[in-house]
Amino acid sequence: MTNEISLLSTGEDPMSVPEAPRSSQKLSPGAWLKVNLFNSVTNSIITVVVGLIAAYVTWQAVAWVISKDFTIIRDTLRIFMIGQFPDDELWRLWVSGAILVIAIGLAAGALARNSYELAESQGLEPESSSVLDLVRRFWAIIAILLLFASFARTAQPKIGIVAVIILVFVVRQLAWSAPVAIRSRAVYISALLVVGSTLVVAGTSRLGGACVGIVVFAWALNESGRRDVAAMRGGRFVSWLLPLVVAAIVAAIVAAIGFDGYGWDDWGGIHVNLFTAVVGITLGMPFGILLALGRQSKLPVVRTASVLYIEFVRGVPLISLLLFSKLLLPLFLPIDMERPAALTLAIVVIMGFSAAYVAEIVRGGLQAVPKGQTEAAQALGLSPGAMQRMIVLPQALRAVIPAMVGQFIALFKDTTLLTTVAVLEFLDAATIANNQPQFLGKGLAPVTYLFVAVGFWAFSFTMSKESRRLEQRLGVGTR
Amino acid sequence: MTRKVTITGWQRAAGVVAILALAASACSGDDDSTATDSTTAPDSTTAPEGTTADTVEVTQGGGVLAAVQSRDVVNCGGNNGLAGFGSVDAATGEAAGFDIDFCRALAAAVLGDATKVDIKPLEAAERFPTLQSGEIDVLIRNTTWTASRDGGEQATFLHTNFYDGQGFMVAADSGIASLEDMANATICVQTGTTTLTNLNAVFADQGIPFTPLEFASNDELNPAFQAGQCEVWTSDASQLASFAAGMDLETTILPNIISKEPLGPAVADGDSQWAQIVDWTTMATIQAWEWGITSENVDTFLTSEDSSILTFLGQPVKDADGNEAVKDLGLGLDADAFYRVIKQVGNYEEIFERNLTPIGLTLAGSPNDLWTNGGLMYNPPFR
Repeated sequence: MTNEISLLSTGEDPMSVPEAPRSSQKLSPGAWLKVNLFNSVTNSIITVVVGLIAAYVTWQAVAWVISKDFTIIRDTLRIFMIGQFPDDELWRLWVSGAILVIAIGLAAGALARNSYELAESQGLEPESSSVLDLVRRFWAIIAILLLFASFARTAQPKIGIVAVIILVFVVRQLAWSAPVAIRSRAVYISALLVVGSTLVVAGTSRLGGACVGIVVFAWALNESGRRDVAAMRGGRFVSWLLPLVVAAIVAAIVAAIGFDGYGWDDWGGIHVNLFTAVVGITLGMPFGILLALGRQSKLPVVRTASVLYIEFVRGVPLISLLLFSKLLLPLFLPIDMERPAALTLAIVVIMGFSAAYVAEIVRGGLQAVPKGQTEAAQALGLSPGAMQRMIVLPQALRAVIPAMVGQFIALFKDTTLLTTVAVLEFLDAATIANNQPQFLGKGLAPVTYLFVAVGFWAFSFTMSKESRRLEQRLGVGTR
Repeated sequence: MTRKVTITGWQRAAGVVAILALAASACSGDDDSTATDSTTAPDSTTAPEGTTADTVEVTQGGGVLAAVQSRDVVNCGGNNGLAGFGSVDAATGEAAGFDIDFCRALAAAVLGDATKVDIKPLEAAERFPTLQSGEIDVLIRNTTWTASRDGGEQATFLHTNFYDGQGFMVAADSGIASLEDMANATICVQTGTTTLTNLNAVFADQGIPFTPLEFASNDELNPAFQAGQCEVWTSDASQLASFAAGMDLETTILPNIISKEPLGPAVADGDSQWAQIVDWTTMATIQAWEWGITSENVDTFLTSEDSSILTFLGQPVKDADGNEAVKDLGLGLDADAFYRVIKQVGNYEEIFERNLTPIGLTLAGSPNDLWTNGGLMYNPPFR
């Protein structure tokens, strides 16, 4: 792309453009310095001055960090990690975390192997993804988890964190070498595991069963497509009905088991930020895509409703939506009705908020898909649904990955606003830490804020790194 | 053929939409049903007889007492970010503090178990809307009793449990000893509170020029004050004292108090029975202190000679005819409600020393001392 632009912009005299030092990696360090930093008197002076300032600032920052006593983090680590979650229910978080990690490992391993084989079968160069590559990709998160564990006073959290990190790699390797039958169904299995890990904490109920049922339904639908049930006699009907029956039975069984959970009133710490962000993003995305499609719909009702929703939500700050949900909604509920937990409302708001933003991002992507693509799809006789699913959306979504990830990172950081509806999130934990009697008046707020900043940075940095990797793999901007 | 395909395609799309909507609403609303299930289940199993009256009363009159009893937990609006008053114990993750203990006292009085509380942490702006919506039964969150709040916010304030006031703190070597000395000084103050309003009003009245330096919270203000970015720090005197206790810097808190900040519990207007219960439970801790009854020695008072102490503790008292009977105070509480409060939570002095002494506040000689010691803690008699 860059080549094309430079050729186009320079017109008939490409030689007049000096060659950018793009081959800098090949120079020796000394030569590189000379070419890039000391190639003229002015540049040398600038380099020295800026270098001295940078060194001074770094020195001061490092000296400050070293001079500080991090006992406050050690003593209040529990608040930063899990908030007010009660001690005797802690096992739920560990079990839930382990199941979640197994789900992630399974999906990651199976999907990586699938795309590896696809690339191989098409004669492309498969992407290498050894354990070392993974560590390079996710070093920030691994490092931050180990940092968190290093502050723990007892051995249990340290062992737990290390075990969880090892577990994800082990499961991934197992999934990598699993038989095709399992690998091709890994997405559904891990989706079930994810729902299951939430149920360990929240307990099963009718709605918990419904969540399981939905995943089972999607899976069964996929299975019936695999067997090509639709081609059989009366198949169209069966291909829908059979999965529905299976899903309903499974949902009923799960709901009937009645495993008591802890609910999520007392969730807190970075755990709640990660949970809210992930749920907000995963549930907000399908809604956002639907809204974007709705906005382009030819049906006036659908289009107007979509536009109204998107413009209302985008026109209002997230903090005011959160306060609406907390302060105004209860006034509309019947007096003897149980009030929804603050976190429930917050998750619904965050989800709805991200949906509106995703919708506008996706709309940009939809408009970037050339009209010829739609016309060609119509010429092939594809139904509108199939056309969107197979032709338009894949191209539209690919084009908007950077914007989408930017939105997700913003949303993750926006979870700090949950403090306004009194959810004890990661940043709020800093206030509580500073208000412990033994730390009051010690002026340790900067220390706790530094800890919080590093925590947020690790996850946001990894997200943006992964998005760049995804862009490169999908060739955004180059094809 | 093409048409047929189109129709099924749309059906499929509609189906997917419906499923996604269902999935999202179902999954996101999940905890609700769990919460409701878990709270309603024990009711239906553990309260087979005698609860119908309660239920009827709830639906008819909306009495808070009946609602609390059928729920079997007191919902308190509290704070989780104010050391000593309402905070979270970082070691256990449990709510702790002076205000929290008054909520526990209420649970002990009404439900017989001080642990049956649900502390809902609130931001300052949420306090009164939450109280009005009925989400909390009582607001005990370092809230100043003012006329406009009693009137305009449809709240009923009850017996003050802490007398505070806005004060000034300076470095010990600053040479500032009075408000006049603060002319042209930089004063650190927290934004969004009445502190700044009071400061502006008082200094404008007295014609003293000053530069305010505003911070979102005292946690952020503290390092700035210690670094000398401002000469004076103004806040509630209790706050200043607790921050001063933790500081390496030598400081002086000036005797000038420029505002009255009586902090106490508040309930929603319209249920005087509930208001009386909260009021008398708060005062019971003060009365017990006056009599020297503590959580440790309360049992020795059960055989007291003093008939008012016996009435207070729910013990039978001889009337004029010599008949022994437990006197019903008519508050809607069990006879031994205050005994449980003292036994499980303690008297005012115990609550103060448990929560506020660790953050550097002193009880003796302060406005919060007992009236017999020259303080403001005084209550009507329990008879």
